[in-house]
Amino acid sequence: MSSNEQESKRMSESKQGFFSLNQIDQTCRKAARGVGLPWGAADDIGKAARWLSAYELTSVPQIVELLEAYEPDRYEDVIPQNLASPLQPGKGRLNPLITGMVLSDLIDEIKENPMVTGRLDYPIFTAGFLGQTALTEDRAIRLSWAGIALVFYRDALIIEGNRKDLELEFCETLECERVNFSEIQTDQKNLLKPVMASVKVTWVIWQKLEKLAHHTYVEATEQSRQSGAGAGLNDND
Amino acid sequence: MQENLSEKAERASLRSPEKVMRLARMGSFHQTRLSFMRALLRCLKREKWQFERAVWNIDENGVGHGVYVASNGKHTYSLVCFAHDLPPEKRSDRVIAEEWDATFALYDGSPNQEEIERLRGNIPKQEAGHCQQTELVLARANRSVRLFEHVVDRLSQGRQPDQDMIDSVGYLMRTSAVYGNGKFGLGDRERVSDRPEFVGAFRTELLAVWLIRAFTTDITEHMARVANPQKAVKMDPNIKRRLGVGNSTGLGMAPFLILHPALIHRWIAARERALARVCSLPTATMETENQFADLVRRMIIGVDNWNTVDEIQQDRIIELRQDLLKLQSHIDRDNQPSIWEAPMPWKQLIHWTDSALSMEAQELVVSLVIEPHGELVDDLADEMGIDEAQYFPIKGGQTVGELLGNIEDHYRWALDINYEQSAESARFWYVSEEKLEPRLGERFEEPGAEKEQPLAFGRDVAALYRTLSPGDPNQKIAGFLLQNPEHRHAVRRVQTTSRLPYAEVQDNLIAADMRPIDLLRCKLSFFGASRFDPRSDRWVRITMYQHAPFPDELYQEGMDADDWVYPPLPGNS
Repeated sequence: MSSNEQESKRMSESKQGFFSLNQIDQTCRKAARGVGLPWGAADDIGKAARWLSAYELTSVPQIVELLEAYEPDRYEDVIPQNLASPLQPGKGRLNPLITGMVLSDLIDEIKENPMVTGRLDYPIFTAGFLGQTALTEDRAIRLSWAGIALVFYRDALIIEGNRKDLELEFCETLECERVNFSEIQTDQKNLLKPVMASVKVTWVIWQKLEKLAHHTYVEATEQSRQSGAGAGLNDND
Repeated sequence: MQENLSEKAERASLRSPEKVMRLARMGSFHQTRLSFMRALLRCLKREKWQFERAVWNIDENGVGHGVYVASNGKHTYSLVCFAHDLPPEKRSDRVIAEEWDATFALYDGSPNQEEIERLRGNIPKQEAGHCQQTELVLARANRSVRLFEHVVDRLSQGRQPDQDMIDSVGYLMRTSAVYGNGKFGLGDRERVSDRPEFVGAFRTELLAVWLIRAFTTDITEHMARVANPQKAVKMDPNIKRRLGVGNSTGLGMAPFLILHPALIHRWIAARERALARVCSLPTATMETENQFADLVRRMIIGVDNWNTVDEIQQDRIIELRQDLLKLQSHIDRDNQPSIWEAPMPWKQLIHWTDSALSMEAQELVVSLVIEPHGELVDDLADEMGIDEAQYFPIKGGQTVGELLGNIEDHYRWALDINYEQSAESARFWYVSEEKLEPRLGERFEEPGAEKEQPLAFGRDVAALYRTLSPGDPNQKIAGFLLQNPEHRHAVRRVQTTSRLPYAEVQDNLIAADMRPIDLLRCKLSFFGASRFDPRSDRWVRITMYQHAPFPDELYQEGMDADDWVYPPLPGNS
């Protein structure tokens, strides 16, 4: 490849496309299934990715990275071993996608005491699941790790503390608790609402996501073209 | 909240999900006055929307663009239309087509010239182009060649088109895709879902289709003028109104009904509640009785104009015609005055249809009895949308015992099927890598079943039941799912259906004898489509907005924005 071609390839790879939240949801859903997660979990992951994108909290590249790193054979190691707080992994650190789902499933069970986790990868991803769940909850949900806390109430989000900790690659512990939103004092500038705009993603990242999603597609054959879709008719009438 | 008497009566008259949510019945649904097209036109007129063709920049070859604008002072939407010169060999309704006679975008606002040029670079490419949040709908359409040429030819000679030919085809162009809700980068539904004109479902898409209908007649008149500028005439409005927009729909639409259970519950529940409200009326007024009799007469004309090449549907239409005559005689006061004197006459009538008429006719009578009761039911049209997020989270605190009870209450039909028999698992739903369209494969004959889409909820809930049964009934579902994550989609489904009983199609969607077209027809009936013309068991053509007013006619004196679905009686065009 000539240097000009390399430059043009680099330019096209860094070029950004515009994607809707629905596309993020659906493509992440398929990508999650594509890496071996069950469909039900993939549904949650698509919605979580959509939620995170709508609040501009994390970007598609990180989701791609996390999905690419998922190893179905290590599922037992990276999930909570039981539902008792603190949730602990079998080995290493908890997977934030599975842990986010578990916390979300248990949200009605969290009452006086917070649910705590042990060591967890990329804690920000758990926010996608709890943010989605908070849309239907009457009581607010507070999630905190390291020096940061996120409070979810319906479609409002408050971020308190050191924003750099949103990007932590792992945390030692994370707490999930229920709070009364009316009791929270916050500056209006800290109150976030979903952004209704296209999400910008570089084509190279989008193609990586599509590649994972592609594992859910079946190769086309002439038979599938004819019988699978029920076509083969004259459309010039 | 305490239930009042009329709500109680309504609930008592509801048909059960076990009866309604069967594919054979859903595949016999007809449009009702709650259908989205009709609710949309009523809303546009009520809210005093104004329409204009703001741009018409189309040349003598029929190539160029036009812009139709709809505005109520608060919001403006522009249908940007691109007209193309398509060689016949490229004309295909299939999703694999790459060029079309016309392509469209419904734009949120008024696009400036720069935006028009951006759209010109993308919209004609459809899925291969790039859309942004300002584009709410992306669509394309192909001509019905024989009718388009006939109408252009006649108009260019200064003559009106042949009415029989218009009636036999029903449209000048048919859309082969109408995309919305964030597909291909389009604006997400949430962008517009709180605007009053778009409450309910699919109203953005159907606004686009209504404006497309105006484009199809305008481009036809334009081509006639080009052919013979001196002699060409416009179409007679009474003939023009007999033209709708055709639509060709394949399997792509089927998974939607399965993957949006909460929304489907709302659609079906609204229709069933409308029927229940009418059935719980103690008496029928003379006015509604007469309106109903007129509707039956009008529908008989509609059935006469319902053409299809599909043998099964043709037989059903023949039977429907006989059933309508039977109905006409049954409701004739001279023959049987007691029908109308009995208490709760509408309920009695529906009860009579159950044993006297075909399924196709039974469901048509549902539409017909709802029709004269607008004041009683039209509010339900605004309850046909839903925030699906409300039903998404899994209640992990539920116990295994409770979930088993839910399955026994709502999925008995699924537990009774033996999925080990090949006929009960004969098919699998998949997404083809080609254009990413949903397809239906033969599990034991074709490759790809390991990539099956999660649409076989009957089978999957039955599998969940088998796994749950030997377990500890006090175990929490969150714990069960941690160990059995492959059942997560089925758990969510059961929890949803337990709250929303019309959410689930109570049939095996992978059985050898399943007819996907039943799913398509059900969905299209809610849109307000008519003249279902199956081209196979998974492909159907329909007509939309036939006999409806055009945008420039909505406020015309004597024009009812809503009384257009049933063809006019002779002498009442």
